[in-house]
Amino acid sequence: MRFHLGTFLLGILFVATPLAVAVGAFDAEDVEIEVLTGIEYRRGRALPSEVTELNGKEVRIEGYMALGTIEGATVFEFVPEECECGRSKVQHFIEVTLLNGVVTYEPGRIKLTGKLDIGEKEEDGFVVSLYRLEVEQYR
Amino acid sequence: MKSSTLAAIAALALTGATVAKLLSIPELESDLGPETANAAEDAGSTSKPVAGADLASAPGTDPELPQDDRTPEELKAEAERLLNSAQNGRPVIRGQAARRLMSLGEVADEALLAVVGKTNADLAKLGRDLVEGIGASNNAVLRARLWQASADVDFPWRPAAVSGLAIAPRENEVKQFQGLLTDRLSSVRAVSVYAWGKLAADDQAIRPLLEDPDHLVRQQVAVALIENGHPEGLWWIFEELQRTDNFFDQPTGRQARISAARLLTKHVDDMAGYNGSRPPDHEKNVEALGVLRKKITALAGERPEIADVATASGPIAGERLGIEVRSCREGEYFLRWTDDDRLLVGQGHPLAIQLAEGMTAALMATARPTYATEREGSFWGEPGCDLEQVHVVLDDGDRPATLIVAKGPEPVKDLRPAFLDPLVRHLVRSLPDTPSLDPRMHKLQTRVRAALNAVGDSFE
Repeated sequence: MRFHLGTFLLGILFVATPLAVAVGAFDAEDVEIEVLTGIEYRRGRALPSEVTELNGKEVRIEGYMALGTIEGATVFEFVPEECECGRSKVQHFIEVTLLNGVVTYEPGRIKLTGKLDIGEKEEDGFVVSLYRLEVEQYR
Repeated sequence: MKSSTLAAIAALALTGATVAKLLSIPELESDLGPETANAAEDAGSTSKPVAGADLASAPGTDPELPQDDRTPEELKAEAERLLNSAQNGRPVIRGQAARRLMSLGEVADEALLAVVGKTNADLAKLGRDLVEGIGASNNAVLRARLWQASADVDFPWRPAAVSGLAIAPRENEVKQFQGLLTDRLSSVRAVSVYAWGKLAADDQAIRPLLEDPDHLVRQQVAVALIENGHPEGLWWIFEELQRTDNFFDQPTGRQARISAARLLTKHVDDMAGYNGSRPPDHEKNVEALGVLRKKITALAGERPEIADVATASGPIAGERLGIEVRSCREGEYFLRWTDDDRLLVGQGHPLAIQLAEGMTAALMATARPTYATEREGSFWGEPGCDLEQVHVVLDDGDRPATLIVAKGPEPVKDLRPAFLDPLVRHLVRSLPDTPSLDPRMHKLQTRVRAALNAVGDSFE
């Protein structure tokens, strides 16, 4: 049998691509959203270590797109229950930024994978987010 | 009561949100950092807040607060700015703005007195966050307005009003809070229990609520008991550590475990390696639960008898259809119909009722064309006050398909899309409507019908 380099390389590519994706997925740490959103929070005070140790990590997390999510935006709030019902405390959601595409509201539970950024983000003297997650997409 | 404990309880508000959100005082209090130094010290009044109220630090007495050297005009302008932010800012800043406003003390009172109006409808226009924040005021007129609103079942922000009042309950308000312990809104019951605990009032009044259908109410009772020298409350929290129930794809049991573990941590030295993210039958959790059981027995004696509704439950097989209603005026309902024609009422450990054979199949015959209807989107209205979600598992193994209708405090004509009406009507007609001693079952159809009318308007 003659060795065909092109076929060999193509084969490697074929096998390696999903492998790389899978490795990436395996790298992500599974995090329950309640671990983040159920914390005691007071402005300016240290967050629990179980939370801060997740800062900067690639995480995989399940939850709901908040009702009231604006279609066509690139940012939405990710919450532990579908119904936050207009009430939005800063520790109760993850601010998700889509790196590709725009938001279409989707009811039901979804799973996101991305890099988690933790810390108080302020605007006009108010804390507007504690948790931020950048994801490629949400489907 | 320790604010850290309260905050942990507050976390539970996220599970039931449930608690149409346990608009919890605990939550409110947990956020009360330096920016809410005002609060409830009622100098010179006969209706003082209870001793030890976490908010009872007068303006200027908190060493963490910088001295405020602003002029009266600047303070007034700041009050106006915060008032506006608390009403019209992004939802995430409204609560913060309200609390910061209240930290201005009398300047805040003056600004609020100018806008609260005369009627509950006027007060409702201020929005949920401001209504709740008013509870931190020492002004007798403002406090009376909250009580007036709390007594009005049509006031959309009753949980917030009661939550505000419970920040620093007055000793002379025991009877008023007692009247709210049987309120139809679980969130009102929960915050009233919280106030009751702070007042260290007679625990016999809250003990019956250890059998409340809402697990957040039960949790509040457990904590109130523990904090007032009745450690047997620990057993009700321990029970939550063993939950594995779901509500369709929502892991309600896991959410409860995580929250309960945070709560229990405050009362036992350590959790022996228990991790609420793992199921209770995980090897490490089995071991930890054994250790915790011994610890609690040492602290509180043998496990008392716990009503079925408060005991841990597991996942339900064959969930096929469901409706979830959360009304800020009419209460919350979590209903499921299973393949074997059972109606399940409630979350956690639901009440199961056997329906006529073929009932679920008949409901599915209505559901399939409903879900096949060509439509734009799955959500109608806006979040805020009332919500209904219809869940259907169209085929075995599918994720539940969900349609949502929601609205703010004002009525919205014909909000529920017409194509959804027949299914909702069919679901409701399958509900029993007989009187019952079980609060979950009593006149169930009538109550659910009222709640659905509050959401979508066109139900009848």
